[in-house]
Amino acid sequence: MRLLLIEDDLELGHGLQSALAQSGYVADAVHTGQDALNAIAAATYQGIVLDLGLPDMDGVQVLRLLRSQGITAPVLILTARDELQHRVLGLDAGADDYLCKPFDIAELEARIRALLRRGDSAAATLRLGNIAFEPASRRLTVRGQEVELTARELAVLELLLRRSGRIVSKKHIFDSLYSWDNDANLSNVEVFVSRLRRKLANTGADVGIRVFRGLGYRLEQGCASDETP
Amino acid sequence: MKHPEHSLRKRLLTRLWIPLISVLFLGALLSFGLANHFGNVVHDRWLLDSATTLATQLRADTGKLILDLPRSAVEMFEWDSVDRIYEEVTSPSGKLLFGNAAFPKAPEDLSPNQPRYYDADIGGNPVRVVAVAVPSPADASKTVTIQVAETKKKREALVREIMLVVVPLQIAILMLAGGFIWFAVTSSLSSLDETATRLGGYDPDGLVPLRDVQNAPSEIKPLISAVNGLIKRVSEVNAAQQRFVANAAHQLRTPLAALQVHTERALRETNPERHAEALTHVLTAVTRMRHLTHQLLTMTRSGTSSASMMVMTDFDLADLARDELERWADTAIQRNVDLGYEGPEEGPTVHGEPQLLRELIGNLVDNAIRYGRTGGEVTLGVRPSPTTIFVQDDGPGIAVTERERVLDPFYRTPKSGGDGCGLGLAIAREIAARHGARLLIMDHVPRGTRVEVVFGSG
Repeated sequence: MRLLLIEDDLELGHGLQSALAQSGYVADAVHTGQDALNAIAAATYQGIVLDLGLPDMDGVQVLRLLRSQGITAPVLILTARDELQHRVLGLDAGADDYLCKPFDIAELEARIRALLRRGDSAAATLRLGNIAFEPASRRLTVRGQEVELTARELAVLELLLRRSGRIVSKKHIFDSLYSWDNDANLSNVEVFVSRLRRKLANTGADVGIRVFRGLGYRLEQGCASDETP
Repeated sequence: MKHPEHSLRKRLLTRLWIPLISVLFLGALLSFGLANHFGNVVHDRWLLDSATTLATQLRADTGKLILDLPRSAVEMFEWDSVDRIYEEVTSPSGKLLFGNAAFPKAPEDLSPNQPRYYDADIGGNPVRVVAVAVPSPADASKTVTIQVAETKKKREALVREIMLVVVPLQIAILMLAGGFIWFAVTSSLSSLDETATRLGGYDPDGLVPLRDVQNAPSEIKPLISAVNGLIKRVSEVNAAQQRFVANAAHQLRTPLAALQVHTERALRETNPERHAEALTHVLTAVTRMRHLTHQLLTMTRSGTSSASMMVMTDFDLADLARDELERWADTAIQRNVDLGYEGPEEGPTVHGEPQLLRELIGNLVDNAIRYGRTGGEVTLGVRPSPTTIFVQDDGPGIAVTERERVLDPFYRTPKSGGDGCGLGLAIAREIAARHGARLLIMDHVPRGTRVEVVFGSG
């Protein structure tokens, strides 16, 4: 995975380059808009991290030039300005995501991972910790061992996996499980989730479902699933 | 559309001068007309006297009407140093008894002893004529018509004399009154000029109120008072901002100092374990500074002066609240806090700036997690009618005596001990106020703090 890092602050650019290298990304760092355009013309990048405040031109301008040249690599904008209109401006110009300075390295990496994954098809295997789910064959494996789940349990798990790291509301799960005319109610969701938690715990998964009171459920790594809700 | 520049002085002068000139001109016309009229009346009477004198010379002589007019009488009668006099006497049958000029025919409908005056032309000279019918001495049922005419030289001379007096007099009055008006307008407006000069030369750095308000005219006093009020408010806001900036700079010093200490320590440290530990402190200090910077920015953005930059929209408060609450999930997990939402799936619609309301909710939740109980419970709730957001924890609570002060920027309760910067509640109150909402701090039963933001009550 090769990334292009466009950041005019040398300190920050260097720090980011090293941090990304620690996580296994090869990142080329450039400091001006012109250098960035040259680098993109010379090599193919899977992802671009772009600072908006560049010395020679505006980052949004660089982004527009890139997009007009048909470069489709995902672009993550980094900026110190977090006003809504700046965000909208960046996204309108063709950016895929937006992160405000200062930020956690972990968050930047998570966003980059998400961006790189976005190109994958919906049928690609969903993974978290030691569990893997293949949407096409609807098979779930934990530590390589196949685990038997009912269709609805699998549907709940898929929903949580697709939005891993985010809280999924009970209502959302309910809407995706049942059609309008069904007379099931929200407590059915609780039943499925608690069954799913038990099964995950029993198979030795290092992934668990955390309950947030009144908010919903979140699939996370290193969360013991045997807690009672 | 460009408005033509208007000057009070010009407007006052034109609006006073034009009516003044018109009135004086009309007055002159009127007095001239009157003088002329009375002059005419007097001359007309003399003319009639002549006609009456002529009538007394009529006599009946054996039933025959004769005019007894000696030559000397005619001469005396016609003598005038300026004008020429003409006369004509016609018998009832229309026969000319006497005449020294070709008169126009006398009016037909003359009543006896009712003189009639008219203008005519005799031998190329404009004349004034009086025609009068008198009973004939020969036959009282018939009338003799007497006409006397006089050229108009005396009358024209009278007009000239009146003009010679009236015109210069009117011009003098006009000049005098115009001068008084100019003086009154100019001297009255000079105090306005003076105020304008003072305002023009105002030094905006000093923010000192304008003086001598008492001596100013009562029309300008409200203006000066308003300007002084504005100056006072600006200087208060200025002072508050300067205090805030100074406070903020001091607040940044502490984490900066920690950052420096731990960085230097990390650089010196050879033991990898202690090196990593020092770096952890560096990260903590950086996180604090990051938090503080963010809070300062939010405070600025929610301040009164940036009201015009707010982008207000309608949105579902419950959606926004849940979404913002989710951001605090990991912080809550770190402090082993049970974070929850209490309220309807679809909440009340609120008109506001979503980004700022997120900050408000975030600050309340952050405070509850930070100053609540480790392993405790924090609940964010939304209630309709009146639209309310509340955040409650089961921590130590805020003493009643502290509840006002915790809303002040940078104030932190003595026991708080957390690593906050003391801006959270100040920001929350500011944002609530921007949305016409009131922020209330109360007890959460059986223990803890409950902060309510009630909309539509500000």
